[in-house]
Amino acid sequence: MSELISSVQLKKADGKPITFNFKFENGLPMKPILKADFKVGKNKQSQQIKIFGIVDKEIVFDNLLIKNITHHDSLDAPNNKDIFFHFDDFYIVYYGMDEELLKLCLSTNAIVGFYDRENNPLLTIAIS
Amino acid sequence: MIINFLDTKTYHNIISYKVVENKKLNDEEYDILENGKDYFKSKSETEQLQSSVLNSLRYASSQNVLPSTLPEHLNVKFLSASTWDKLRDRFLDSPIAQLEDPNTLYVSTKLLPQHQHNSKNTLISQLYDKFKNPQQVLDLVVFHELGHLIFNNSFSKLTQFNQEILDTKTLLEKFKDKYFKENYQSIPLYQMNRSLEEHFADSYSSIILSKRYGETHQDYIDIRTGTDLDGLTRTQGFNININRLTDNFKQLSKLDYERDGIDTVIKQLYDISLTGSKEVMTNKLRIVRNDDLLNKLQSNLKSLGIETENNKKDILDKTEEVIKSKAENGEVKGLSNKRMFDIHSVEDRLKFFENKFGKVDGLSDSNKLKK
Repeated sequence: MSELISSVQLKKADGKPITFNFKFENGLPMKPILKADFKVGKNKQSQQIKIFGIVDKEIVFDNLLIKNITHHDSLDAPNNKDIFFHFDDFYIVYYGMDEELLKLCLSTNAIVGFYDRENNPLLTIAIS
Repeated sequence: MIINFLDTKTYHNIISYKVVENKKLNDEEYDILENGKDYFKSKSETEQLQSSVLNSLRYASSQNVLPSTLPEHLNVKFLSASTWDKLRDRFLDSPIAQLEDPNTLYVSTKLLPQHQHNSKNTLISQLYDKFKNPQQVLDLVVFHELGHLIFNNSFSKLTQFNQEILDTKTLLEKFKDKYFKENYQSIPLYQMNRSLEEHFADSYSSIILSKRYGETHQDYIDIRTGTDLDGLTRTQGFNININRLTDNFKQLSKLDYERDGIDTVIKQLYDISLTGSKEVMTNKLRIVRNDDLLNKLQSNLKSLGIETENNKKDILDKTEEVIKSKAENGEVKGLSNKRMFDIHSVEDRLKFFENKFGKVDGLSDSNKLKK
């Protein structure tokens, strides 16, 4: 997990507080990013599309909620999108998803599943 | 549950989700459509950069050099090296007033030492060559940019004045600036006013750096003179900024923010910068065709409703007076509110221009026209 922080409060010369808010270039507030390896697959039987995110089990996913999912133009790969999964204290980011594939995922109610390295489910959701 | 999809500027409510499965993954059940890319390593550079920026900001706070004129919140936006390259071009075409948020400080991973190996000619790599200490380089950049934010918040009338001056430009002048990279040569008053801000930012940075690292102001002068093309400053190094620092930095050693407090010192920095800015203009007049530059300056003043006598001294004095007056109370004696053209006539002129010369990318930018 990275150790990025979203803000720091310091003081001005007159003693009053000043807060520096740190933002990613897409405008989101900075938070630590939990590393995940992603794949997108289509179920051979049901044709259901699934986005797998394999994460190191650094944190406990029990009772964790995804607060938001956002996508942003990927700066490292033109025509691709970075998908940010927002949790309270960190993000999981799928960097550089093909834009057409993202559209397909959205139009087919794809499933997003986060798993540990032993393929145990941590959190699985459907998006639409 | 409604989830907001966000791109850089807008939200789209297009997605909802619910928890649906709780079984072990068997990826043999799937045909893989895409393997995600591992950009995580490069993203960790943001962490490295944030650590250095935090070090700079915490030092500034501990030294009481964050003036009371700063707002309660400032943003620090982190850009990748590739984005920086793209945005830099945009910045170079735009004055500071056209940035998305005047209270945002932009930093790029391009500032990190590992990005300097192929860029020996850039200002940043020259800074690394000179100072060796990465934190010192980051301090110089961060405090310089912070200096801009302090200037904009402490002397906001001058920032607005930049836009007033730009509003007096004709479309042909805008075209020449953009496509022939004339860098606002037709409006030396603007160059002088912008030069003042650059002086200020450099001076602010220098007084902190010299205290923290012991080098003299001259050390920073040497590295900052010349071109700004590869600097992090958000305005292009106008010709008139070259050698802008030579004299005014000599006065910086007289300042002591520990003794007088930073709120007093930033006013002193402004005075020094104004003197330096006028001096730069005077120096410029020695090396270019005086009549041409003076005529332009006189014309700039006239378009703002200020009449001058036909001599160098009066023109320069009035220029200084107008900038001073703006900084102090926002009003300029003899300054007319009349603009050269309103938005409708600009559009008419644009149509005329495009009919005559064809469509010109950038000139149709409605925001620029409205400003």
